[in-house]
Amino acid sequence: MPFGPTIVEGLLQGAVVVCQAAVVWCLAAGAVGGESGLGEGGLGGTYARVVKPFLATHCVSCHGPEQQKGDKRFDGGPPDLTDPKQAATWTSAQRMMASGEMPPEGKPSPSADELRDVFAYLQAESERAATITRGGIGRRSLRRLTAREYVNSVQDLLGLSFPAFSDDLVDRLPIDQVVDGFANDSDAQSTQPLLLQRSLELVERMLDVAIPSEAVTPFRFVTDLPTQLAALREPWDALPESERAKRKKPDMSKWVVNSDDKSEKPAQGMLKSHPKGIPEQQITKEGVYLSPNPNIRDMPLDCLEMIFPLLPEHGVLRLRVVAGAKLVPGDSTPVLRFGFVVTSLYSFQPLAQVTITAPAEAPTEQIIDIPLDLVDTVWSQLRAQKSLHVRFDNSADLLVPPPRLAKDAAKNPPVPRSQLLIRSISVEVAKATTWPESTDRIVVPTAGPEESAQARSGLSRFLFRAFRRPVTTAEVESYLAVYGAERKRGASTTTALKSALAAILISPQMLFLAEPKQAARTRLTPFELASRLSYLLCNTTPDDELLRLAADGSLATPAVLRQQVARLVTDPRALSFCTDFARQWLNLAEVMHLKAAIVKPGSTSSGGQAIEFFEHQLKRDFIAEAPHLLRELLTNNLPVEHLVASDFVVINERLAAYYGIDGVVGPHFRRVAAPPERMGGVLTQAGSIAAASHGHMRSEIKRGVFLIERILGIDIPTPPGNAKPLDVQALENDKLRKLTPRQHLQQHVSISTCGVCHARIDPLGFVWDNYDLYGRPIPTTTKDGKPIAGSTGGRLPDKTDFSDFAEFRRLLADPSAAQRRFAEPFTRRLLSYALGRGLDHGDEAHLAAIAKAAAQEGNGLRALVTAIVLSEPFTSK
Amino acid sequence: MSRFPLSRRGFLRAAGITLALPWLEAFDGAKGAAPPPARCVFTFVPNGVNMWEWHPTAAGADYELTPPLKALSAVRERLTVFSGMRHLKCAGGHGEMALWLTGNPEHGGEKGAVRPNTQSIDQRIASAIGGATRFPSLVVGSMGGIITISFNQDGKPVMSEHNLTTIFNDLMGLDGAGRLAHRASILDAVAGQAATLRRDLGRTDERKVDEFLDSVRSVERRVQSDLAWKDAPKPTIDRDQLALSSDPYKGKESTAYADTMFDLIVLALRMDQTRVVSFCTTCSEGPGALKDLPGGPRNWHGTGHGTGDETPDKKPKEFAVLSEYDAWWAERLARFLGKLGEVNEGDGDLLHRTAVLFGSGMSWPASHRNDNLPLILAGGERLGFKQGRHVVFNGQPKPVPTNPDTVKIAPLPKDAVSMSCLLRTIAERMGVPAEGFGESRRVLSELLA
Repeated sequence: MPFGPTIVEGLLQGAVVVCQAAVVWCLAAGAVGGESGLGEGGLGGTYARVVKPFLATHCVSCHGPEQQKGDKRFDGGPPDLTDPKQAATWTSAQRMMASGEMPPEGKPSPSADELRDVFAYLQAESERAATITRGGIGRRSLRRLTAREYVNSVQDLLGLSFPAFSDDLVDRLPIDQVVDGFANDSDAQSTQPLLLQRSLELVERMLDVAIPSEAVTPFRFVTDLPTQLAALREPWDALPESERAKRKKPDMSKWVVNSDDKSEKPAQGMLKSHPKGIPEQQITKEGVYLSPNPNIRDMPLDCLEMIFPLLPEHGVLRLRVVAGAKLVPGDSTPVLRFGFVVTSLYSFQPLAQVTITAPAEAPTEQIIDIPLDLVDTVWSQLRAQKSLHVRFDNSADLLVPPPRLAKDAAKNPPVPRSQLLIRSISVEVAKATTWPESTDRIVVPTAGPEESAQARSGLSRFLFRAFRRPVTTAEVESYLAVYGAERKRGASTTTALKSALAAILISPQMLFLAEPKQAARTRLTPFELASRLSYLLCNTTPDDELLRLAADGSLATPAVLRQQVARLVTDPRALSFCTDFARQWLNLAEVMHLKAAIVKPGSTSSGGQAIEFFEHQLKRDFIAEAPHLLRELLTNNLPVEHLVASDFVVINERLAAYYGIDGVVGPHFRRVAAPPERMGGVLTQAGSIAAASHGHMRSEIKRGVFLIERILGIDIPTPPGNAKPLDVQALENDKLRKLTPRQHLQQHVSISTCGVCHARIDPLGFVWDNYDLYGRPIPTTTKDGKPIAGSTGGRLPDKTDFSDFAEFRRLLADPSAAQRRFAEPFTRRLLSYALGRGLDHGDEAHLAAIAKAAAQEGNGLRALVTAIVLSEPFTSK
Repeated sequence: MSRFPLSRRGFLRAAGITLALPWLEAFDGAKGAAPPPARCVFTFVPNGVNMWEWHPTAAGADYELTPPLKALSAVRERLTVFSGMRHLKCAGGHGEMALWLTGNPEHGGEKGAVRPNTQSIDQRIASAIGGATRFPSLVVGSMGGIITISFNQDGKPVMSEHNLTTIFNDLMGLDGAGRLAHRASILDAVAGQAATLRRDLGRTDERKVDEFLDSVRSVERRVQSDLAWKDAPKPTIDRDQLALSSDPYKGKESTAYADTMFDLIVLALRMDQTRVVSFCTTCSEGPGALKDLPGGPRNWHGTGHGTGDETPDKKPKEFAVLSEYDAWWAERLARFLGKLGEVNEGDGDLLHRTAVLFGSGMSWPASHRNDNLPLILAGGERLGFKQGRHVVFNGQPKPVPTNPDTVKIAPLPKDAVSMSCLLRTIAERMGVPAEGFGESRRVLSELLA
C-alpha cells in the first residue's frame, strides 16, 4: 500500500467517523493489551470462533462464492498477513469497517462488540505477521541503499567528485523504483542479480578512476585565443592598405596548438559555425564570443573545435577554460559545454557542462574534470580515428529559439543573446584524481616487507568508512585474503588492492543498512544512528564528523543529535535529500518524459515541426523547483504549510521567464515574491501540475487523484479494469455529452461503482482548471474580455466546500482546522521516507508525539525533521 | 530454513556451469552431433489494439491477414494468429504486464508490476534449461527496471535491461573480459560476508539476505560462464549497423530502438547466448518509451482510452491511430521474424526452432478487457508447431460494428482455453513440463503438427 495511510484516512471523513474509528481502535488496543477477546485455541481458534461467523454474517453475501464485489472474497480460511497482498486487502477491509463504509448502506451494521473482537484478532494477526517479516510492528526490514544512495556513497568513499561531468552514474544501474512509494521502502525493495552485476561493473570502473593502474599518457595542450588569433591577423594588419585590398582576409578559423613540451604533434584549433562562420565581431581581443548554439540536441554547429593527435583513454581529462559571460537582460546565462565528436558516426557526445557567471570583463578559470574510465562512448571508433575531436559550445537554453529560415528572420528579427566568452583553453590528462585530503586517503601498498601491514591498515580504515562502523578483525582478514589471493596469482599491488576494495564496495554490509535486532526493541547504536541520519539528510554515507560523534557515543544524546540535524540541513548536501524526497513525493521524474514539443512558451516557427531543443533544461528546472522550495523551508525553518500556501517562489532565471516574472538573473534558485497566479508552493509549480496532468488535456481525474493521494495522503485503489472513461460514458449517453466537464463529473460521481472513490476524487479535479497541462495560466477571459465560465471550486474529502483555488490552498494550510489537512499527511509521508518503510498502526502514537514536538517549535520544516530524527521509531530498532 | 543447501561450488556445478563453447560453434564443428536447441521469445505490447480490425475473420489456413497485419504477409505461412485467447479468472486491466506471462489467477490486476506474483513462463523455462547458456534468460524492455513481464520463482519482478549498448556489450563480452578472474575472488569474499551477515541478522531479515545471496550466485554463475566463453571464437559484428544509441522516448527514434532491440535478440539467439528472451516493449500505464510513432506524438495509451471502444464511425481518428500503431508493430515483428529466418541453422533456419509469442495483455484498450487477446505465435515448426493459420478458441467471433453481440465478452465454455494453456504448450515444446501452470488445463494439441 502506498505510503501506508491507514486509519486516519477514515479520520478525514468527518467528525462522526472520527469518533467511531477512535472508539473502535481504543477497544481493539484494549482487547489486545488486556489479553481478552482471543481466548482458547490461539489465533486459529479465534478465527474459527469469532471472525468466520462475523464474515459469514456481514461480508460473504457480497464477497463470497456468489458475488466477488471489488474482486474480494472473505469466505476462505484465516488470512496470511505476511503476504503483502492479503495484508493490503485486510487492512483496507478493516479501515472500511472502522469508518462505517462497510457493510454498505441497507445492510445491518455490526455491533461495537463484534467489531472489537474482529479487530483484536486482526491486530494480533498483523503483529504476528510483522514479527515474522520485519521483527515486529513499527520495525523495519533490512533496508538496501537505493541506487542513488549507493552511487553517492561510493563516490564519497573513493573521494570522487565530478560536478561538471554530464553523465549521472545512477543511470548505469537498473532503474530502482517502487510502485507508488519511496525507493527506500525496505518492505518493497528487492535485490536482483542485475542490480548486483551492474553495481560491480560500475564499482570496478570507479576504482579505475580513483586508483589509476596504468601509466597515463602525457597530454597537455594550451591555447590562448587572443594570442593565437592575433598571430593570424597581425601579418595582414601589418600590410599597407593597398595590399590588403588585393588579398583575401586571413582565415581566422584555424590555428595550430602545440603540446606543452612540443614533443607531440601539434593539435588544431578551429572555429566552426553554420552556415557562414562565426561573425567577425565575435572574434575579439578578449577571446572568442559564442552565441547560444541553435542546435543543442545533436551536433553543435556554432562552436570551437579542437583536434588532438592522440587519444587518452584513462585518467582524468582536465579542462581549464578561462571564460566569462556577456549578459543580455532577460536572456539566460551562458553554459559552457564540452564533448567528444565521433567523426565516423557524425555524432556528438556531451561530457561536461558548466554555467558561466563571471563577467566577460573579468573571466575566470573553470576547472572541469572528466573521468575517462567512466566515459561510455564508442571507443572502438575513436581508436580507429586515432585522434580526439572535441567541441566547446554555448549550450544555454533558448527560451525563444532563433529563427532558422530567412523568411522567419524577416518576420521576427533575431533577439540579441547572452554571449559566452572563451579566452583560453588548456586540455590535459591528470595523472591521479584529487582524493580529498580530509578523507582517509588510501595508499597502494608497496611490494616488500611492509606490504602486508600497509594493506591491512589501508583496508581497515576503508572498511570502517564503508561499513559505517568499527569492523572486526575477521572482517579485515577476509578482505585482506582477497588482496593476498590476488597477489599470489601474480596481480600487481594496485590490482590486488582494487579487487579487495571492490569486494568491500559490493558487500552486503555496504549495500544494506544492517541493524541487528534483539527480540525487544532497543536503541540504535550510535553508528546505526549516524547512518540513518546521513542517508536521510545527505543521501550518502556518514561524513567524518558523524563518524567521530558515533565513535565517542555522543551522537546518541538528543542535544548532539539535534545539533547535527541543524548542521546537516544547512549543508549543501541537504539539497540531495530535498530532491530525492520531492521527486518521489510529487512524481516529478515523469516530467522529463512528457512530450517536449508541447512546452513552447511563445509561438515559434520552424515549418510546423516540433522544436525540442530548448525545453530540456527547462524541464530539469521544473523538477528542481520543488526541492529548492523544500530547502528554503528547511534552511529557514519555515512552516510546512508554505509548501501549499507560500507567498513566494524559489526560482531561477529560466523559470522566471517561463512564469513571466521580471528581474531574476542567473541560473541559481532564489526566493522571489510570488505573483498572484503562483501563490501556493508546490501547488502552483509547473512541475507538479505537469506531473499531475500526465500530458492529457482533459485531466480532471488525474489531477484529482494526484491531489488526493500526494497532497492529502489518501490512497485511492486502482480503478477496476472495466471502468469507463468519462468520454466513453459521454458517448453512450447523449445527455452526458451535452454537459460541461464539471456537470459531467458530477454525474460520474453518481454512477454506481465509481462513486465510492470518485466522490472524493472528482470534487478536487477542477482546482487546477486555470492552468494548462504544463502549468501555464489559462486565460480566464475571452479575447473580448468576457469571463470564461468555470470555477476552481470543489469539496475536500472531509466535506468542506471551497469556492476557488485560493480557498482550497487556504483550507489546506488552515491552522485552526481540527486536522492539519496538509501538514498531517505530509508528516506521514516524510516519516515513512525517513524510516524507510511504510507506516503501520504502531506508528500512530509516534506521529502524535512528532506533531507535538514540531508544534512546540513553530511547526517549521526543520523542527519537523528534527522531531522525526529524535522520535522513537527513528532512533530505535 | 535455508533455500541454499548446496555449497557454493556445488551450486555452480549444479547450475551446469560446465558449458564450454556456445552451441553454434560446437555444432558447426561437428555437424549433426546434436540438434539445434529450442528457443522462445516473448514480446509484449501493452494496451491492446484496434479490435475492429486486428483479428482475421475466417478460421483455418485460408484466412486473410487484416490491414494492420499486412506487413506480415511475407511470413504468413510461419505464424498463427489467435482469436478468443484469454485469461479466465485473473483480473485484467492495469495488471496486464504482471499477467501476460504468468496467467496468475490470484492476481488482483492492480497497477504496475511489483506485486507478489507467480513465476512467469519464461523464467520457468529459464530455470529448467537456462543453465546451458551464458544467460539463463535475457530480460529486456525499453523502460528498464521493474517495467518487466518476467517474474522469478518468488514472484518478484525480474528487472529488465533497457540500454541497448549495455545489452550489446553483455552479449559480446566487451565489458570487463579482463576482470573476470578478479570478479571470481571478489564474489567469493562477498558470498562469505553475506553468510556472516545472515547469521548476525537472525531470522527476520533472512529473506532479504537470501535474495542478495541469490544475486551473488547469479553474478558468480555469469562470471564462470563468461570465463568459459571468453576465448570462444566470436562472430564479427559490425557495431555501426546497430543503432545502439537510439532513444526510445523520441518518436523519431522509436523504429530504430525497437528494431535494434530485435537485432540484439537475434544476435543473442544466434550466438546461443540464451534460449529464453522476454521483451517488454513498454509500460502499460501512462506516458513512457516507444509510445510515439515516428510520425509524431500520438499518445498511444490516451488514444486507446479515447476510442471508448466505440464503433469506428464514432471515433475514426482514434481508431486510425491505433491501427497505425498496430501496423507499425506488425512491421517490427515481420522484420524480426525475417531476420530469424535468414539465419541458417542445421537443416533449417533459426526461426524453425524459435517459438515467438507476440501480442498484448489487453484487447479493447478503453475498457482494458482481457478476453480475445491479440496474439501471434510464430516459428518453432521444428518444435512441433503447425503454422500458417488463424486459430479460433472459445467460439470467439470477430468483432463487427454492426453486430453488438460480437463485442460482448463470450460466456466461458466449460472447457475454456486460456492463454496459460498456450504458455504451457510453448514450455512443453521447449521440453519443460508445465502442468498446472497459471490457469492452464491442457496442452493445445491443435496447435501442433
